[in-house]
Amino acid sequence: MNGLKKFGSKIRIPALSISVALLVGALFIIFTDIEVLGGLLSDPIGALSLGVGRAATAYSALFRGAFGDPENIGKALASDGDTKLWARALRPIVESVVASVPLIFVGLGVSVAFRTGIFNIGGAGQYTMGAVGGTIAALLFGAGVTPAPIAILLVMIFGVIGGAAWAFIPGYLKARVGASEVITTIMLNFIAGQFVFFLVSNFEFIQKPPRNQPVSKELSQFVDLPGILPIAALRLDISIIIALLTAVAVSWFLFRSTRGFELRAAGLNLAAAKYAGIGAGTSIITAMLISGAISGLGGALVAVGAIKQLSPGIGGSVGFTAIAVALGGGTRPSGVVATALVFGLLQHGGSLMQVETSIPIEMLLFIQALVIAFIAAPELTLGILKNPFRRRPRSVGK
Amino acid sequence: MKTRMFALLTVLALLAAACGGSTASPSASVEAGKSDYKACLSLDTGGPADKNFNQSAYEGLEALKAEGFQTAYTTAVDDASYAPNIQQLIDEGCNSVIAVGYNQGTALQGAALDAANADIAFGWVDATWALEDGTIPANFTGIDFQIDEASMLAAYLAAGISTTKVIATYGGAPYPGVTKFMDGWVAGAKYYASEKGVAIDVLGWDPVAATGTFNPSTAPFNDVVFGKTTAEAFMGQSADVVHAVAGTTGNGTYQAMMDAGKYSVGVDLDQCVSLPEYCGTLLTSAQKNIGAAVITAVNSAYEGNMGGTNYIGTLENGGVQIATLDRTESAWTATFGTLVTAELKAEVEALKAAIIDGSVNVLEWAKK
Repeated sequence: MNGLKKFGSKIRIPALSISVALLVGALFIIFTDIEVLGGLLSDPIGALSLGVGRAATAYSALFRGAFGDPENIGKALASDGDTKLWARALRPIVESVVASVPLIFVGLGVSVAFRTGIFNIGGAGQYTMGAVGGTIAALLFGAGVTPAPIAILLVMIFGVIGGAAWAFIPGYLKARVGASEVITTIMLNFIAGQFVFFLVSNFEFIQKPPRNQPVSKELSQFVDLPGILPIAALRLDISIIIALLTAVAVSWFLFRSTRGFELRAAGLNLAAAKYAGIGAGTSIITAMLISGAISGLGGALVAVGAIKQLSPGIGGSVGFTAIAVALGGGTRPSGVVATALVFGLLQHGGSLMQVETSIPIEMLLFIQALVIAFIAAPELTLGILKNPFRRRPRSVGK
Repeated sequence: MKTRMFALLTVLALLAAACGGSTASPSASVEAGKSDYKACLSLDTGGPADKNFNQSAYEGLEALKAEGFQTAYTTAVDDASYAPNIQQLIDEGCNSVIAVGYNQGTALQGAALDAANADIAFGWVDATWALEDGTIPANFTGIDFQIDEASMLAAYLAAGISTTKVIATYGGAPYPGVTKFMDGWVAGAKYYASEKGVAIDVLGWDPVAATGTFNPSTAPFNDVVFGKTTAEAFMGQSADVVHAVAGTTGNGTYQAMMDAGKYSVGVDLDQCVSLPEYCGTLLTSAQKNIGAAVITAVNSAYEGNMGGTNYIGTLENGGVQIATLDRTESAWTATFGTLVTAELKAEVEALKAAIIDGSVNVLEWAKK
């Protein structure tokens, strides 16, 4: 009972934040609808109910796109194990999980840095360089050169090396010459994207034939990450399991190991940590290496598994969304996994919302941003939902 | 507090549940069959209003909707969205799925080769099925554009009106879809030079060495300042017509050229229409008729021709063209009314005919 209460108080703010963000999002859907705005003066009630109906349709699509359509689930249940129907019924939730995998990895990666007091904005670059490592490993060792499990292991190792190496640069610069990691990591993001462009447009080894587009060869022909669901049409591969194991490992490392304690101590108060004999430089470099390694691992698995190609835009929005995920999850591994799942649900649900109602996908980015803003400002969230008629104990202006 | 939260969540859930599956599109008085046929676009990250590539395709989809087709589209958030977005459209009952941009290739080809999708027609804007990937599936249409044909005409015109006989071009990024414009630009200048016996200098692109001026920033197609400074640099080397192949970046070029009383050539759309404020500097535009190609692809799939070929937009089939020279916009006629002589127009028409009948090969001229 006590545990349940504790859990409840922990998820109260995030749950409220998501609800309030959805409500504010609904207001935006209603009041940016041209037809609603047009009718607002002549027939306010009709226009508003039209708007509410539109918002409800949109959110209905959002939920069905994120979790699954009850109608399809019913059909699948009624069928006698028809895999096609089951694939269709389960695809939304499965795809939502797939969409959350990169966010889990990069969210965990940047969380380790944040805990050490380093604002690592380079998640995108480290993820990209991990993808580069994974791609190269797949091309070198895949397609039967080594047995499949070893090829997969090498993809992961190369991804870890790529991400860690990329994160080492700003870590080293910060520790040795005090260069701001905010600036160096952001700049390295750009360089990583350009580096991929260079790779996929100049090397026959990587570029997809007939070599007229800046994308890599199709990687599933080299390494195929095994799926974990019995239905082949549902593309959830082992990367989600590795992501969850990574979360457990990060949790153990941060909160149960000496090294993790040192990093957290350095993050809480660097001067005090130094006084206690913790090497600041070592902490910074260690945190960045681990941070980059985790993001890089994610980049390698997602490039080879879900996307199946390397292209210059692979870092895309992952890096910045993952910062939001890390902050939204309170930089705790469990929180990061939960927030990443919520974002994955919103993202995949959002594409159905766009298909059915033509509300642009940017609306979802807007809701995601609101979720984070509300989580970051719990007082605001609680304030919005407070009874406006109840007298406040403290009055202003007297 | 807690009850309020539960009430809120319940209301949300009810709202969501109440309106499940009400999505029929109200299209009256059109061909009955078309209202049962769903045409869908998987757009790249630019989205339906990027004033460019995705928008052109989206305008085609809007036209299809007006014809009576059901339509839907998705916008990618990043590279990881392509496969789920295409699958989403398939699951939503789309009969025709067209993906915009070469980046979607791996995801799109995977879907097209999946036997479960054999009755869906797939299209790929700005790329063709590569023979290295095997034969084209019977339900696949690659849609690409021989845009160098149009930019060659534009360059010929530019060379004709240039007083300094120096014309310039630059690209957003060295993508093949970008450098193709620039190849045509060089070809047109060389052709003019050999026809007239005057030297034409082209700045910004060397088709033989494959080197030129590109925007190194991370938003190469969305960087107005680069467009402006590059145009000024070109004018400093006495260029008086600039062809910007760089999306929104080009708007900075148009501004700079207009301020200096010089000229530009637009890309992708008839930019005198999409950016009327620059009509006074836009001699013409090298246009890809992406919307028309989307309409053609969907209609032919609807009539039962699912694909199995690549569609290449050329001057001959109207897939590419230069924006009309018979304009009535006063800003345009004030500048170009006298510059673009009837004689020059006739020469451009002759060159167009020569490209169509094959007697002029654009790439050969570019690399001469």
